[in-house]
Amino acid sequence: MSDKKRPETLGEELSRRGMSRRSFLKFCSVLASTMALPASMAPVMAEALAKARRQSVIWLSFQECTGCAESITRSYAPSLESLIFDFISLDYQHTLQAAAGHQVEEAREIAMKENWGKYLVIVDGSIPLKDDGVYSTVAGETNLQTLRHVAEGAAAIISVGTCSAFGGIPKANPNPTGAAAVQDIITDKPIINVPGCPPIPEVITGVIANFLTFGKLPEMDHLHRPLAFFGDSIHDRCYRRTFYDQGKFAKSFDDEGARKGWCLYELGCKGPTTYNACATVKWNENLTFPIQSGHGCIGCSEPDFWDKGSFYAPLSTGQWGSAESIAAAAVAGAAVGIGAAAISKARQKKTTEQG
Amino acid sequence: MSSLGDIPVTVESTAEAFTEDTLTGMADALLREIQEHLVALRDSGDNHIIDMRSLPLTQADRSALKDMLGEGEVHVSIDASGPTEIYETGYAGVWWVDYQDLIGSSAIQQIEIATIPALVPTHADDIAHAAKRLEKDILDRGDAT
Repeated sequence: MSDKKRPETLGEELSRRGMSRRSFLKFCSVLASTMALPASMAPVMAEALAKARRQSVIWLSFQECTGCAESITRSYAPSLESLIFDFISLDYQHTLQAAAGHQVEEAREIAMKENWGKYLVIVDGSIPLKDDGVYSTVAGETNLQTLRHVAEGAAAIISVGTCSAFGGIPKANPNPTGAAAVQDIITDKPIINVPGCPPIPEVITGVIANFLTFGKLPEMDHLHRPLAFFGDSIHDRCYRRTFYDQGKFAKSFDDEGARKGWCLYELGCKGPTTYNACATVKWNENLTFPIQSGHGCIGCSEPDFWDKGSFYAPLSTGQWGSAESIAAAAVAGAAVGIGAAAISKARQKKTTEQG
Repeated sequence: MSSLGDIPVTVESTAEAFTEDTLTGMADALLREIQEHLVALRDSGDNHIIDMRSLPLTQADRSALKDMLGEGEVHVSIDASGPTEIYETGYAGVWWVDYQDLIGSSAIQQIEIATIPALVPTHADDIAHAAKRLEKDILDRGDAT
């Protein structure tokens, strides 16, 4: 996908698009604010990014549904977020590349050779390990072989989506292909996880912009997620939190509480145990996110989210009335806030009365 | 104590104690921070930007801060990837900056302590691009007449 006529720096790309530096500075200000960088960094960031040279990126798609690529490519174009994505030199991507067959694999080898030690690898999808990885192959190579080969010359790896970050849905019980995450296989390269099913496009571009600006991956949490976007739980930043604190809960998706926008905790919302930026960055040009649209968080940016029981069962437990279940609820309550214990107590009372 | 259910649980709601109408004292604290940076601007020309989105400000705090700062002589409207409204407050060198996104909702609010906010001056690259474009447009105009 290389094109000699393409601008060499992001600043030249801005000029080509007729986009003013004011627009770009504004983008950097919003980006800096979202990434919890000091606001005074925005002009510095804008200057550094404008001088950034085109970054070679090799995107590897393994056991995945293409939802992650859809998330970023279907983001509200034309936007400054899409600009970052357009600016990188995407030297290999199964879904987006025009070329096919052996020419594509050759293009990848050339990009690797020309940018050895400097290229970024983006991975979406998990890697099957069972039976020597035979369950997912591309051009006669198993995903495992491809990942090991391409990772060797990478400056860093961005695992985009829950499948590449934690195994995701392919790893869900009974995990028939022995699906594993990138970080389970590659241990000698800087790796950052941008989980989500799919991940938020601004988070992906934020990580890339951080790498282009500072030449390194941003600060991460214990699960190797960018701290700026995954530092708070959905619950912590949810606009419905005040109803949780007041003990006001929707009991069904069409009751009065749901219509009034009360907390969805009792309808299975996993916001208290899920870390992501949906409640602040939101989706579709900062328009909304699942809870704002009336559905609880399903916890898609957490490891093994598919195997944690029903999306519609309250976090505290599905069984009520026994000492064990109340103890579990109390533990959950301590973790997510005192309100949870109050709910479990109220539930216990209700169950006892019914019993 | 016979069971876990006997443990008394008290819900301490914070909702009543902390709403958007609550004055938390953040406006006064920010005023002192602004003063410190204004002195730095006066003495050494250092610019500074305070991102209000990252601070736990209530709506009442924002309104109080706006009232305390007042409005000065300069108002700037910028149309770049959505509108941006900037005005100098009653304190020269202290600017209120409201960035809006393309759908018109407030993306970020900042207080900028500077002789002129960073978004206002024209960047050298834009000037170079404009000079080239104007030259071409004049040539095209000459060809047409």
